[in-house]
Amino acid sequence: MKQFFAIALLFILAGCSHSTYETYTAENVDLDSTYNSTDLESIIAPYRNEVDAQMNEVIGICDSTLVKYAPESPLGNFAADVVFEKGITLLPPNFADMGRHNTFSLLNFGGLRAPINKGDITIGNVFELMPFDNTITIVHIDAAGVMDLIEYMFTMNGQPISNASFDLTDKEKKMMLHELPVELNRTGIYVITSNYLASGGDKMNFLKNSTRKWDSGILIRDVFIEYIKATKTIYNKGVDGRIIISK
Amino acid sequence: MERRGFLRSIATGGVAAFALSSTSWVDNRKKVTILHTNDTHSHIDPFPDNHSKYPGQGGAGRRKKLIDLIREDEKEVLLLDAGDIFQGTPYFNIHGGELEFKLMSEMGYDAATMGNHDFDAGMDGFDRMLPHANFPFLCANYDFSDTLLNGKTKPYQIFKKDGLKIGVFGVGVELDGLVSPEMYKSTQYLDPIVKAQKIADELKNDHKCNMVICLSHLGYQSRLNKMCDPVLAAETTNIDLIIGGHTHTFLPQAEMHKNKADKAVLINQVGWAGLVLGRIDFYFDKKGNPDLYTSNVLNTNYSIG
Repeated sequence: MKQFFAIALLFILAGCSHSTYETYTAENVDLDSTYNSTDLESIIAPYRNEVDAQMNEVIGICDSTLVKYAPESPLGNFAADVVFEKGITLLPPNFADMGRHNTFSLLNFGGLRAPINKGDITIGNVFELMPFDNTITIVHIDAAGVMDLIEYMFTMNGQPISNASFDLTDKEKKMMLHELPVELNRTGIYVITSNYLASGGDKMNFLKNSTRKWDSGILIRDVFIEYIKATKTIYNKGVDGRIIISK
Repeated sequence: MERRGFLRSIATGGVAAFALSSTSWVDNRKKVTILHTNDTHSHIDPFPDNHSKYPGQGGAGRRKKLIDLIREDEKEVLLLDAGDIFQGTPYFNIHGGELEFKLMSEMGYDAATMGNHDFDAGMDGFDRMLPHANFPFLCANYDFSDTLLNGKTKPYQIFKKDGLKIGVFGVGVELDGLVSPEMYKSTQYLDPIVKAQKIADELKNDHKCNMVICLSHLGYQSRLNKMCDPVLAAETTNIDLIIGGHTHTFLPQAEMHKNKADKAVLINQVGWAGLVLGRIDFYFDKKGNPDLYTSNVLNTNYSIG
């Protein structure tokens, strides 16, 4: 980021009545402590005070930093597990056959915007992890949707999931649900996800195309906050092999 | 501060080289300084000192300080943003983007385009914040006709700098699959290449702009679709500079690409979160004489690590 260079250019302007530039210099400048200033403080302070009052509350502690990466990561597993455990307790109207045997949770790496750092966890940290006002949404997908899901997971090199596992190669693609192989001829499965993904975010068309969806209205961020408050300590459990992809 | 002195001495070195062909060049040139950000994502304060990637880095106060320092030295400055001003810290969740717009107004931004996250509070959320921005939003490929943003953005704006005309327009990323439909409502996404070409032609040919800048939130690499800044650069003409965003790409410096007519297009993008301020100084010949630098200039390339 600290490089500086200059290039001189020639522009042939034959026939043009207006000139264009002929040379330029370019430099991308890091905004570090070199430029410390309090100029904007009087504007920022009232906003910051209100944010701090709400955000600085410590709600738990983390034993070892949770980060995200593909195809499976400690942060992705944590988020998907917490969302699954909340979602499975919800009772969507008309989803009477929904249960642990036919339901899994699916989030997206892009939606997890910050690690959970080792040490105190504040409400502000959870806002950084999940700044979006996304809500838990449950989507029923049929056998064709499950096929698309499996292909999607292979193409995208995984996304955060819980209560399911994927073993995907070019030749063979297997999905397990609650530790049992998914039978594609059955009545379909339920996906606990976010309203964002349910409406086709991150190109999850198998969710977008479903006609059976239920939005709980419960903020995923609030679910994280509630979970951390209840468990007090978040342990980094690493990864458990729920997604294996070889290309 | 040291670097600023350095910059000046390098610029002088460059001038010395050009002076071989024309001693009057220094006096005749005009200079326009482009400063830019992208994907600032509600980062008002520096990252905390225990942050795993950017400890103690960034911050709106420092951005303003550097911008002010540059304005002390440079007469003709354009300050631009390539979108995703919203979303990323509790400042946005609690205050809805009000402070982001106020600070950008205070820093003297001349224009911005909309990123996908600028739809995160919905059309009404963005609309409510607009009174806090004293700069225009330039969106050429979002048709807001059937939404409440109708007439509140414009496709382009022309800035006059020391007699030069700098045309600036904005293009945004496809919203389908990226933003919840309830957020963007009836916004129509139009082909960015088609719109960019049409407006760049209009700016260069009809309005006789000396330079055309595209504020792009398409991204540096293609992600879910094939559209991205290098493609936009290669498929169009009459654009001189693409200021990018969306993919949070930290380019070491502005990159030279070739356009459809084999002419130069610069692409720059400065990561995200207000960690870096992009700067490009353009020098113009006052008389517009194209024959001044035929021999020396093409190979003049200063590269300092």
